[in-house]
Amino acid sequence: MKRFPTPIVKPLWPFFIAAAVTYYGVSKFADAYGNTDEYINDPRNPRFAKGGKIVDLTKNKETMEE
Amino acid sequence: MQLVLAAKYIGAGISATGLIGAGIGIAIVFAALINGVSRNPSLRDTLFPMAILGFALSEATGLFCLMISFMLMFMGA
Amino acid sequence: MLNLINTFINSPLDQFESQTFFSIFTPFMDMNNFNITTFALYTFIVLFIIISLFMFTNNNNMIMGSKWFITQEMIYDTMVNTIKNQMGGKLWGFYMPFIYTFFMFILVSNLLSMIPYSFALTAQFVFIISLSFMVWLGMTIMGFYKHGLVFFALFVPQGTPLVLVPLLVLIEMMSYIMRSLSLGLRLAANVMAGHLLMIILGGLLMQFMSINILTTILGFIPLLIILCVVMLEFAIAMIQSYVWTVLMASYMKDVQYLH
Repeated sequence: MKRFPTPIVKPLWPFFIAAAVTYYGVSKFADAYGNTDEYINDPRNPRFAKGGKIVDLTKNKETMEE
Repeated sequence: MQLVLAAKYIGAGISATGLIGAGIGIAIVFAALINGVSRNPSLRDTLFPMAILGFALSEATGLFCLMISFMLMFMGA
Repeated sequence: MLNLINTFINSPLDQFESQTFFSIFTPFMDMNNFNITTFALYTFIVLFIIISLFMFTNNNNMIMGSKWFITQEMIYDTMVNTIKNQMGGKLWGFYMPFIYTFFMFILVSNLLSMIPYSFALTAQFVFIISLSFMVWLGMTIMGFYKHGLVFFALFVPQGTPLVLVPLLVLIEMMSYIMRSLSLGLRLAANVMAGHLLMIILGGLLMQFMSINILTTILGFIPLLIILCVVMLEFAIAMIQSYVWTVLMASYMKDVQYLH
């Protein structure tokens, strides 16, 4: 199949930059959302595949009470 | 907190009444289409794509309200 | 790979879950983005369908296309006419392949999700909203690069009295920023609401028709109503891709020519 030389970088370069920014932003957002109090102990979290342990949520309350 | 759970479901049910606006909006768009076509049958060229665009845009605002209902039912602690 | 055993649908939202079929164990780096999930599988299926629509219909790349190739020509001509009517001017040709790509992707993935027990790619909110955010941000960067600070002239409609201008600029800027969210939210909300409605209605009718023989025969009337809902879903699947295209071309016209 023949490849025609249609210009993709010359008119569409802002979309590549925007895609990189969006990728970075969504990745940071997903990491932060997976570590909120509700989902930090969910077994599907990729934290557990890298050797993380279950975080005891009552520990934070103990330090606040003291 | 059973009260919070009950309030979630009640809120999800009440927020679905926003779809009345979507229904009326779609009816207005297609009423304008029928009016326009009956006065001047140049349908296939210009009026029909604009009617479809208007239908989708008006349906979108109705579905924004439905999204709030879904968010209340299926999300949140 | 043993996720395939659990094929029961326990809640109407299970159809939107993304299951991992194949992942490699990499303890040193987080290569979870290269898993083969249902999302990746269906993206490959959409790519395969779009490529095979071209490869199997052109008769050996002859200039005179076969009768099957008329479908591709129809879609191409619809796109060219739509973009030329919306954008106009001298620059519509540069952005036509980009908008055509979006049209084909959303059309094929919406129609693919109408197959029962299939997966709706365009109902994934994070995917579609980040896609529309990327499009909006790219257009804003293009506008600022092309027009400099004169880009803010987009927010002042022609012929407004000078007194109303500050308030109008604020309102128009709010509406412009909401475009990033609403373009994707419209598509994802429509497809997700439609699929959810079909599954809930189908589940309810199945329970109704399995009580005894009387309700089975009586249940053909609601089945006709659900058939109408399914036909509406087919229409919405095709309309949503067209609407995304028209709105993207209109936003591109706003950014390039500053009305």
